[in-house]
Amino acid sequence: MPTDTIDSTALSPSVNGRPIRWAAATGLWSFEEDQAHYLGPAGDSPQRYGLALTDRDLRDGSVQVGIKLSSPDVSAGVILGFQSERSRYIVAQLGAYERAYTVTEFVPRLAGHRVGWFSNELGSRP
Amino acid sequence: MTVDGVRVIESVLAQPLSGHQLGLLAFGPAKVDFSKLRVQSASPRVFVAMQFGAPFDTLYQEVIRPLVKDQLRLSLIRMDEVAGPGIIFEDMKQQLAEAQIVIAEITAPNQNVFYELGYAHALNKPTILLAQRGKELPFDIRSYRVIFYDDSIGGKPALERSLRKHLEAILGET
Repeated sequence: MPTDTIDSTALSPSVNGRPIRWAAATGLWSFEEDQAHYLGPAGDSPQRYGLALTDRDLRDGSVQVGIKLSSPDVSAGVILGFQSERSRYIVAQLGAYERAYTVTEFVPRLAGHRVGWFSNELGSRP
Repeated sequence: MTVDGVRVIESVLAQPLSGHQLGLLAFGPAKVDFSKLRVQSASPRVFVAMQFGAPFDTLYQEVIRPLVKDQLRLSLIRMDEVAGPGIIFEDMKQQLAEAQIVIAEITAPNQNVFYELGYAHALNKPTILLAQRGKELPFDIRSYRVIFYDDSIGGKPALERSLRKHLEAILGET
């Protein structure tokens, strides 16, 4: 699978250039400096996804990351504006929802429904 | 959102996010490699809606700009300072959409200022309203908190303090 780069602009003054710290919240992950590897869901967990958080806050600026999908069965992206899984946040993804590119807004009061949904309708995965 | 340098999706949020943490997400049973994560932060942007010209330019040059740009180190946008070949109306909408805070000086009954203020409210942007003391405000915005100031040398320090307090409060909660 090719490597694509997501560059997503969102809403933060923070110190740039210091090493990134990681925390695996859901799923199996390994980390090394500016790289993260999602290894798959954790054991018999019903959660079929992985969530890794960084020590970075972003109010205004940009995020850039290379993403390599090992299988057509996976999708991946960047979460912006995260506070908890029960608060509003944005996800910019590759390969999600049978689309090449999506930006999705999750609104917890709507039980996590997607209320913002954008795609280039290519129908092909990156 | 850009992919390999090509813009593929663009959107304006209906309202600002309250969280700011950055993370990675992956769905499915197989491996995903994320590499070269780069985070580039920028200063929060403050959009100023006000009538251009005297006496409001003095307020902008002597109070708002020194406080916002020089002391608080925030990006400051006033539409007459935005240079570019685009349509002004579209520029205004874009700048307001990208701003985190909107300061509106509403002493003068200026349609452009109130249009920008209404647009900012529609986008749920935090707004700070300024008006000279004694000004009768339009009914629709009387419920908003307004910083009333004296247009005098003595009024400047008080306005600076109030404006700083409001800006810091908003930046602390967004």
